[in-house]
Amino acid sequence: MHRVGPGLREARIGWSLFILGAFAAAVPAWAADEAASSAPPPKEAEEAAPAEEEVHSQVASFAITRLTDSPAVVTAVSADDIRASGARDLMDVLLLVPGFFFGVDVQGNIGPGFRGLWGVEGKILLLIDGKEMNEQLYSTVQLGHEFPVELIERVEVVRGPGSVIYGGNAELAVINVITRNAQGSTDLLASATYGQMGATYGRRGGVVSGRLVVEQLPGLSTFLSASFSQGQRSDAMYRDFSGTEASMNGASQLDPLVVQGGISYRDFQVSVLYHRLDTNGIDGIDVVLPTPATANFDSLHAEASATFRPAERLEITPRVNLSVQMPYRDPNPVSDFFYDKTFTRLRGRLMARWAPFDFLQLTGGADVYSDQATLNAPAGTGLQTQFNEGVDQVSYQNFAAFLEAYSENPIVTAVGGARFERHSRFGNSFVPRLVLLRSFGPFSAKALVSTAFRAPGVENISLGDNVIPEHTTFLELEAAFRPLEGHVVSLNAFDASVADPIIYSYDAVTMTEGYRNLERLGSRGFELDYRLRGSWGRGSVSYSFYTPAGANDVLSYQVPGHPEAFAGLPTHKLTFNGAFKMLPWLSIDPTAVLLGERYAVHTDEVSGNSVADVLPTQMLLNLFLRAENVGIRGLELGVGVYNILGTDFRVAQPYDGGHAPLPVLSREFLARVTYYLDPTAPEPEK
Amino acid sequence: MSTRIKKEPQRKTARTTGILVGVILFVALGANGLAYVFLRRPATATPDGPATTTTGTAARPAAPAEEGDEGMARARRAAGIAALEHREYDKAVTELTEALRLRKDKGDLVELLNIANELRARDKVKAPIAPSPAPPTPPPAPVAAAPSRPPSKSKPTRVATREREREKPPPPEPEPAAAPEPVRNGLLLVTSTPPGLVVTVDGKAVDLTPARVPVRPGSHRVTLAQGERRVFDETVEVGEDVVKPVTWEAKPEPPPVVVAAAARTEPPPAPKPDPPPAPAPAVTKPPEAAVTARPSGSGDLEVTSPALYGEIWINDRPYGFPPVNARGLPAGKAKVEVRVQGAVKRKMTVEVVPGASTPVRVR
Repeated sequence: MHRVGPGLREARIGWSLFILGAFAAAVPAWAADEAASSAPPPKEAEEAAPAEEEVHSQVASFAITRLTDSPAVVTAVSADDIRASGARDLMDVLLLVPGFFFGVDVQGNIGPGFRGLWGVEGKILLLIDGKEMNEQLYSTVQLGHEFPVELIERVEVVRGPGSVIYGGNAELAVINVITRNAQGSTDLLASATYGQMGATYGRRGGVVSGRLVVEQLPGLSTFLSASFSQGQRSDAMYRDFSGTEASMNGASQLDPLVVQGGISYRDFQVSVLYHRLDTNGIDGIDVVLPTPATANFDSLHAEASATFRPAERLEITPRVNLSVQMPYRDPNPVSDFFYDKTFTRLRGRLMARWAPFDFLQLTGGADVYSDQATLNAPAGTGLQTQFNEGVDQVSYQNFAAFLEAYSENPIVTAVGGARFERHSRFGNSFVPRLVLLRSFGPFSAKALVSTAFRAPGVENISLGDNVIPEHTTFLELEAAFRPLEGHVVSLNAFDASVADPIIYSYDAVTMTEGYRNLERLGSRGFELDYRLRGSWGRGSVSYSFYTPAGANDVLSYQVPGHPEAFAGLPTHKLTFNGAFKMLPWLSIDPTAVLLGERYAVHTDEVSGNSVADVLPTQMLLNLFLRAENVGIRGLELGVGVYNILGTDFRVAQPYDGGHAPLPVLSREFLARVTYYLDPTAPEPEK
Repeated sequence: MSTRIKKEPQRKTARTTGILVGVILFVALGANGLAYVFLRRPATATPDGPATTTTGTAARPAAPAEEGDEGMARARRAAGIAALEHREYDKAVTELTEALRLRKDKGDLVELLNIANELRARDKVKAPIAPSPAPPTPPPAPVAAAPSRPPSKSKPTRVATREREREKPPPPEPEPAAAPEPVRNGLLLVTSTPPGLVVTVDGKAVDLTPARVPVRPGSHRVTLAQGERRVFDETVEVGEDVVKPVTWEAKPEPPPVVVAAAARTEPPPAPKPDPPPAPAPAVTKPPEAAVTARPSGSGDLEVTSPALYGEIWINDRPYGFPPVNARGLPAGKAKVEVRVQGAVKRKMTVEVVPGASTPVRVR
């Protein structure tokens, strides 16, 4: 039995110190070089390249920084990039983000994996306008048709841990989706989309959104958005490990409904998000289901926040959130998948930011929440079980305190912070982080040592064997180079080591599921990203690579005969995306994704041994044509072909869990009409 | 039991990790503080410091030999634009004519000189009503001096285009006549390096740089586009009967001509921003940042943004959502931004008047 002993962790921390020391030692030399040269300082360089929109964010720190100065490896995707690429949902967006890929999980749901580590369950946090979208019974996130991209203004992806900022669901990465809200000017958006797969529609739906900035009452703004869509994940044939097949046409439903609204007056903001995703699927555990099983995800999120500035350099922000969720809901009491539970979280946060000097920001605060999970119907039918030791309702409390210092100076910017959490059930977690950042001429570099954790969800606790939080230690280095205006090349290397990973298992004989902490898990690798932008359009190329870090003791994640890979997730991913302006109003946007081999791991029925089916190297090719201001200003038309090559594209389960690879991203022809009315926008450039 | 066994090493290592990171953090912050104190000043003072704020009318020494005429031409051009801002049209004509003489690549100098001559002529017509504040200057170079220089190759087409556009009533407001007007328009003087960029004011394309655009007093959104690419987008305040320069340069110029500008010894200017103090004549920075000595004291800004709900940032510090009353700002130029979802949507430079509250309305 190999446990991550203190010695190993000390060694890892020692390496962290060595890397940080080397980074800090090298920096004065760079600083000296810069001081000696007459190269323009960064400020002037920014002024020389103003075409790139300047964006500030708090996605990776409590301090507000420019996105490029975030103390993490961050990828930002703008609304224009999303519209130009023809992305249909977050899966399409994340597919182009280095390190991300997907896996199939129970009841046909697709979730994200990152850098080889399966992250669907409590390890990757999905935020929509600051509201945590992971359902909190299992802490999972569902991808595919999940949210209308027309409402997205920006996606910020923290490719690394975010526990210091966000807590126990942000162990591997954070996906922060910023949507249309009260900020902006009075406008109106309407959009309709239709996508046709070979045998059935892929999606059909529409979006309406409006924002009103009340000029008669300065400081008042309100917005309302609504979206409804119906769709299918695929029309291909699903085939389980024994070779039984069934069509997903009509049996891979994805019907999202989103309603958002809010009102803001000066520094006080209130917003509400209702999100529903109705799904069904036919991929049971080890079998094809005779009839599709339902799993609906209902959630309501409300938030109120305000900001006070009692002194010039002090800012205090209280924030209250309420989430009510009913995940994996199958309301049919005679269904084998009957499941009807409600989770409620009331959360209060108080954050104070103080900038005693121009070069120092200090942030501290407290984060308290109370969770309650309740059975909506008696246990004993389908998947409906009681909580813990046979109760219909459980409640937990969690207290967190956090602190961060963001210090800028000409030698190196240092960001240090930590979060302490105390959960009423599983106890304490403490996660510190230290990041060093440095820019010198066209180069910039980041060095990061961070710990993060995954907090067990309600069902993890109920079904688990005294599970405790899993902890991950990250080492990351990133270097970026801007050789010319509009060109950015970045390379980052990472090493992630998970201790006490919480692992799911299912016993098909007894039809019981369970969670337990296993030994250790880890991955390391690198990601290369090149982005360029000019008057002709823009383009990006990325390559991602990971390998198990020699510390993978979780049997169900291993691939027999292939120690160089984890189950389900490709070790190599190459992406290309471009938006080429053929005419000032017309652009063509190709997307290509080349995925290395993946492995679907399952247990052979005859021998009882674990075996791996190989999913070959595959290419996904999309083409999208976008025309702006067609006939009238603000009218946009887009047509696209997805999976032009008709590749039989499937995603495997990233562990040996009995689910055969699920067809996704099937060939689809799509048309989209969008009308955007902004009375204050300048005329388009000729 | 098993839980306890698992938690003990975890707590121990977490404590050790915390101590180590705490030590690192302490050392890093301490080193940062020291580095900030000792290194920040020299690092920012030379290339990154604010544009020269010294002023002086006699500051016109010969440029170093290695800079040559080109450097002096840039300085003369900047001085000409500064003079235009302060309605010293005779001086502007002189400076621009001299710049034209010195510069091989005429760039936008011919058009700037035409603008200066035009404004001077208009000013003289209006002189009995509103005498120019400019002091007597040496006789300006004759207007005919401009045509005597070989025009740039691109000039005929561009000038023709500009002339055609000027024949039309220039949007958004007609050009003010010489006669007294009920509302005295301001004037945007938009220049760029390189010239020829499309100027858009409040969403309407009006001209190519260099351009003079009459506008109503108030705030106006000015954008410059180089082909498909928008290179400049700011909201500027234009006062009544005030010439407001807007300048953009494609790349930082080579090190400026070293001009021994005399430090301004007068007391800070009066609270009223108009008329402004005497211009700084010889800097290669845009005159926007170069012409005014930084007054002492502090003032307030009352920022409203009735049509755009976004967070107001002043001098890189958040002040909340509008309307915002920012008190105790250092007098002089202040950078005001409106950020929507973290993205800078409006950016402008305004003057903080010491001892006064200045309203700023963002469009």
